[in-house]
Amino acid sequence: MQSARSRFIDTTYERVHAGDPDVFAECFTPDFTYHGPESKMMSPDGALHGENAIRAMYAFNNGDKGSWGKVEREIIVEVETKDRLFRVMRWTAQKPYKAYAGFDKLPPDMKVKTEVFILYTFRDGKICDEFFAYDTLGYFIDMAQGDMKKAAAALSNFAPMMENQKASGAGGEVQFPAFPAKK
Amino acid sequence: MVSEKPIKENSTVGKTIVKAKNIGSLTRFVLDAWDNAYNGTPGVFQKYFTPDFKMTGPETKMVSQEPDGSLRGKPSIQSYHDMNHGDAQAWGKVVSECVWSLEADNTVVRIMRWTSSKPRGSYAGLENIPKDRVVTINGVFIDKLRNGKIYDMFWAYDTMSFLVDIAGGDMKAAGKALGKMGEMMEAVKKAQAEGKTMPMP
Repeated sequence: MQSARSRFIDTTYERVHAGDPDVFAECFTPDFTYHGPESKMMSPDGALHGENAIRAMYAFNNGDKGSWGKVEREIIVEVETKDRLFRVMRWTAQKPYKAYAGFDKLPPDMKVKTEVFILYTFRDGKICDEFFAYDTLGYFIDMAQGDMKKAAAALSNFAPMMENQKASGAGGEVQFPAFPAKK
Repeated sequence: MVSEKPIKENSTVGKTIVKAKNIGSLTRFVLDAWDNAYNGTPGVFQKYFTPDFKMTGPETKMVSQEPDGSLRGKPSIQSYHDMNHGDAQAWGKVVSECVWSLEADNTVVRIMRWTSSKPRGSYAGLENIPKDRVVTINGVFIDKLRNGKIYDMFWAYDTMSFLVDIAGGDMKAAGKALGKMGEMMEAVKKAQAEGKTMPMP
């Protein structure tokens, strides 16, 4: 049976992915920090901070949704303590329909599974830190269907995109646009 | 029962883990198991691991013959030993720290931080790595125990950042290195299929 905190995480991130402008104030501490592979090249300390981190997650999720026909998330391990919740989630992305992460064309019947390890830390009932890790190269290699040379070419194509994004931060943290206004 | 331990434990690869205070008994068992596996202690497999032990992580996925990307049984421990010794040969110093762990029932979750410095030249398809390069990476490990022994170990870390950091932030160089690493991994996979082990690149 899913715990109250686990449900809180699920509903919070559903709200983040939906672009709910109230979610940051209600569910995250003002000094919230996000450390993950995507944030690594986007700020001097490798982490995204405060509401900007939430906007980034919204943008990342929209990027995935815009490239895959279906993305499913499933909890496969969950452990909880007083102040922390640790999860392993399996992400299954399928039916790619656009260029993605340096790959020009992925087979339309492709299905890629990735196990993502996430540690959430809580303070005063709100999320104050998220640490996130997965086998990023493995994800590329899976999209290249095991062909490491193809994965290497995609990584080289991906480089200018990441460098442009990094440059947009002008030496500071890359800033993401505010959520769309509520209708 | 759940216990959580903030830990700062240093282990220089090749040396015994410095005993630390404030560490849970299961975490201690797991760290000892992997330290002995690293050191190639005779009898380590029988003492710490179940016969059906399997381990799954980025490195095993590249060379495994199994559909789930795992390595299994005693040969997997030999591979662990070999791949870590490959790292130790490529870097003058590798410090591994268990920075946080959590014990729940028969599961240990730990965050390990590796700091590699003093590269000796080439590593993971990259050549002429500057001697002053220092690379730090955090990985998450889950060890599951049955009847007092580890039956499953599963880990993940941001492998791409690791490669990009070794390349000094140059993603194109990292891409080229990945291409070269592909050829090396194919050789390891072939050796695995023939029942041999060889150090992973």
